[in-house]
Amino acid sequence: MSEGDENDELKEIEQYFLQEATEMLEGLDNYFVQLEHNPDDRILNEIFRTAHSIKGSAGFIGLTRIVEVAHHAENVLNQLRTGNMRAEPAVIDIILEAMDTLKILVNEVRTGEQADVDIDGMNMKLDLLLQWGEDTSGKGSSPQEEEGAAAEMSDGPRQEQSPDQPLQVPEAAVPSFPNTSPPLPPSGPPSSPSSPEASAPEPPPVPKVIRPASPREEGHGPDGAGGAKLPEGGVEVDQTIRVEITRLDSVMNLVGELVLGRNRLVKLSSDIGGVTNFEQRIKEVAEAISQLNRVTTDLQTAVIKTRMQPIKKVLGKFPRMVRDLSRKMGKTIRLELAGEETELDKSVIEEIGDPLVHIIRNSIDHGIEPPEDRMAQGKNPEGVVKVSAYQEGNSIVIEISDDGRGIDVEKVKRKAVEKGILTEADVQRMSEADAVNIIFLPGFTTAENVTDVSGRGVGMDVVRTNINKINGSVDIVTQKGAGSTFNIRLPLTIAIIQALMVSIGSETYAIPLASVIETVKITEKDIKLLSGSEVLNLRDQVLPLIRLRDEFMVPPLSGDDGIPEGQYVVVVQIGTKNLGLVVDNLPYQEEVVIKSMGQLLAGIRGLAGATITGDGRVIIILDVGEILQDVSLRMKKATPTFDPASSERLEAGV
Amino acid sequence: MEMTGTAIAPLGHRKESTHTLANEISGLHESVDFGEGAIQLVCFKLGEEEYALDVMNVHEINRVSDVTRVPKAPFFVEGVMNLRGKILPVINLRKRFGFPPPTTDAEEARTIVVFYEGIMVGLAVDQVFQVLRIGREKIEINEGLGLVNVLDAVMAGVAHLGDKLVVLLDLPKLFEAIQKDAEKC
Repeated sequence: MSEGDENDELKEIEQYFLQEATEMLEGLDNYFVQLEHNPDDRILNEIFRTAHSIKGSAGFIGLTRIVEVAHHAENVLNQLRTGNMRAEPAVIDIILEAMDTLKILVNEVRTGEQADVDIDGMNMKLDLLLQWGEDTSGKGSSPQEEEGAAAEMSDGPRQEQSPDQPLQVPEAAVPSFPNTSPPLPPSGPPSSPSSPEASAPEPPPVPKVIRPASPREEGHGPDGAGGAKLPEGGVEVDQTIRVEITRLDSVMNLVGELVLGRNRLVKLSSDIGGVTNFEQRIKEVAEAISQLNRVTTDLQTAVIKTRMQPIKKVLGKFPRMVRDLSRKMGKTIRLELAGEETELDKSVIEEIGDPLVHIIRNSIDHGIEPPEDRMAQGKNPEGVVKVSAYQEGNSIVIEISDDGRGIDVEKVKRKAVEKGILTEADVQRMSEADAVNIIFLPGFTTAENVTDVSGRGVGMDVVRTNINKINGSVDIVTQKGAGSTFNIRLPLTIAIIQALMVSIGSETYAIPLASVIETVKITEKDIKLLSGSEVLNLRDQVLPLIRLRDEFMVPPLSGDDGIPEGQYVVVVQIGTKNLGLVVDNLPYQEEVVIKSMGQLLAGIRGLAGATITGDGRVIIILDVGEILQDVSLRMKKATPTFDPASSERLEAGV
Repeated sequence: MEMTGTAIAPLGHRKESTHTLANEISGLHESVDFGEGAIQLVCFKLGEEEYALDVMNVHEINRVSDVTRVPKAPFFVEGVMNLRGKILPVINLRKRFGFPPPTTDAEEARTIVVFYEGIMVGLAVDQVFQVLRIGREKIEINEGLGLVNVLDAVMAGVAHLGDKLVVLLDLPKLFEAIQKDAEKC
C-alpha cells in the first residue's frame, strides 16, 4: 500500500467500483418500482444478482459498511425470491430506504467524508422485516393464507396514511413498542423480534408488516421524501463520458480520411512547378477539396455524436421519485416513459434534469387529483404521468403530460394579479394560451400553502430559465379537467444552433431561431409612435419595436440616406414577452457554431457570442433574452406606467 | 552608434511580417546574447510615435483581416476577428491612447496578437517595423517620469535607441487598464 503504484491501482479499482455501483443502484431503484407493480421472477433474479455483485465488489475493496447493509438487504431479497415474502409497498419502502443508505455510503467513498447515516438502524429494520418473513413461513401457513394476508396488507398501509393517526396497530402490539418515533427503538433487535412473535397468533401478520414501515413513514413525513438527501433529479456533473467504441472508431476512420485528404492537397501543391495541364490540375484540387469538405462535415457529426447520451440518464430516476411522491401524498400514479433512448448532448442532459423534476413534481402535486376525487369525476383512480422524448428535425422534444385536473386559467390570472405580478389590465387582454404561461413568471404559485413538494413559487420560473439557458423553449397546453401537457423543445446540441441572419446596413447579425416566432415585412409608415416608443400593430396586438440600427449604432452605408424603404420585423419571444427587432433584410438561415468572444467582451449585454461563417467572417450572435430585459427595463424607466405587455393605453393609441 | 548588439529575432513562423523586418535588419551581424542583460522588443508605430512590447508577450503578428464591429463594446475595441477559427478581440491602441486617426499606409497596418494570463487579444497598430535586442541598461524604467497623459499608467519605461525614444509598454498594466475600462462599459 505504501507504494504509489499500488495506491494508484487501488484508486482505479475504487473508481471503477463507484461507477458500477452508482449505475447498479440506480437500476435497482427502478427494478423495485417495477416489482411492486408486477412481481416477476425475472426482475427478482435480476435484483438479486445486482445486489449480490455490489456486495461482492464492495467486499473486494474492503468497504465493510456497504457490505453490511447490502448483506442485510440481500437476506430480505432472498425471502422475496423464495416467495416467503411479497413485494408489498411497505416492504419495498424499506428496501428502497436501504438502497438510499447504500447510495449515501457509495457517495461517502467518492467524497472521502464520513456521511451521517444510521447503518445499525437500517440493518435492524431489514432484520425486522426478515424476522416477519421467517415468522410467517415458519408458521407453516399455506400459501393461500399468506396470499390472503398479503392482500389485506396491501390495502392496509394505503388507506391508513393520514400522518397523525396512521396505523391501526393492534393493542397487543402497542405496549411492546413504546416509542415508534424515529429512529427505531434503541432497545435493539432483542426486544423487537419478540413483539412480532407475541402478536403473531392474533390478527395475523398485518401489524407486523406495518410496524417496520412506521418509522419510515413518520421519519420521512416531516423531513422530506426518502430521496431528499440525494441530489434531486439532476445528473451530477461528470467530468468523464462513456462513449461507445463504434462511435470512436468512426471518428478514427474519419480522421484517417482527413489525413489522406491533406496528403493529397499537399502533394498537389508541392509539384506545382511542373504542371502543364492547369485545367486538369484545378479539377484535381477541386476534387480533393470536396472530399475534404465531406470528411470534415462527417467528422463534425461524429464528434458531436461522442457527446450524445441517452435521455434515459435523466428519466431513469423518475420512476422512483414518482413512486415516493405519490405514496407520500396518498395518490395513485403510474409513470409512463417513452423514448428513453433519445439522445441529447451531454451538457443538455446535465441542464434538463432539474426542470423535468420540477414539472413532474408539479404534475403530481397540482395536476393529479386524489383517487376519491378522480373516481367522483368518473376517471380512473390511478393517475397517469407520461414522459416521452423524441427527435423532431433539429430539436429534441420532451413531453410531460398528466391526466389530472389541468390548470385553472382563471385562477392563474387571479393569483397573478393578487401577487402583484401582473395588473388587472394585463390579464384581461391575455389569450388563454398566454395566461397559462403566467405560471413561468418568477414568484408565481397557485398553492395556498407551501409544501415541501411545491408551492414556493420558484419552480416553474427555474424551469423556464434553465431551459432558455440551453436555447430551448417550453410551453403548456392545458384542458380543464383533462390534464396538462408541457412541451419542451431542446436543441440537439448547445454549441450548434439554427440562426436567422439579419442584415442592417453593411453589418450582419445572427438571431437564434429558437426565440424567433415570425418575421414580418413592413414599411416605414407601419411603425407607430406611442408615448415615445415605437410599436407595430400586428394583427390587432401591439408589438413594441426596437431598431437594431439605433440599438447597435450601426454606421450608415456610404451613399445611403438612412432608412431603406422596405424593412423586416423579426418577432422574438422570451417567456410571455414579445419584441419586434427592426432590420433591413433577412439574407438567410444557417446552422452556426457558437463561440465565445473571450473574457474581455463577455460582459456586453445582448450579445451571446460570435460565429465564423464559411467565408471566414465573424458574425455576432444576439442574446434575445437580454435584449428583451434591457428594453423593457428602459421602457419602464422612461414611462413608469408603460409595460410592453400591457395594453390599454397602447390600444387606445393605435 | 548606440544600438550595439542588435539582433534579428527568430520570427520564422510569423511570415507576414518577417519580410519587412528582414529587409531592415539584414545588414546586422548576429552576435546573439540571450543573457539576462538583454531584452528583445517588437517595435511598432502609432502615427509617428514608436512603441515597443517585450517579444515574450507577443504570440504572433498578423496582417489586418476582416474585423467585425462589436456593438456596445468599449470605444477602443476595434471589433473581433477570426484567428484560425478562434474569435479574437482587437483593440485599437490609437483609440485607447486618444491619438488622431492614422496617416500611414493602411497596407502597413498589423495586428499584434498578445497573450497574457489566459487572455488573448489583438492590438491594432499602424506598422510593425523592427524586432531588436537591446541591453536592459538602455531602458529607462518608468518611475515617475511625470507624464500626465493616459500613457503613464501603461508604460514600463523608455528605450533609448540613439537619438530615438521608444515607449516600452507594460502589457500586464495595459491589460488591467483595458479590462477596467471594459467593465465600466
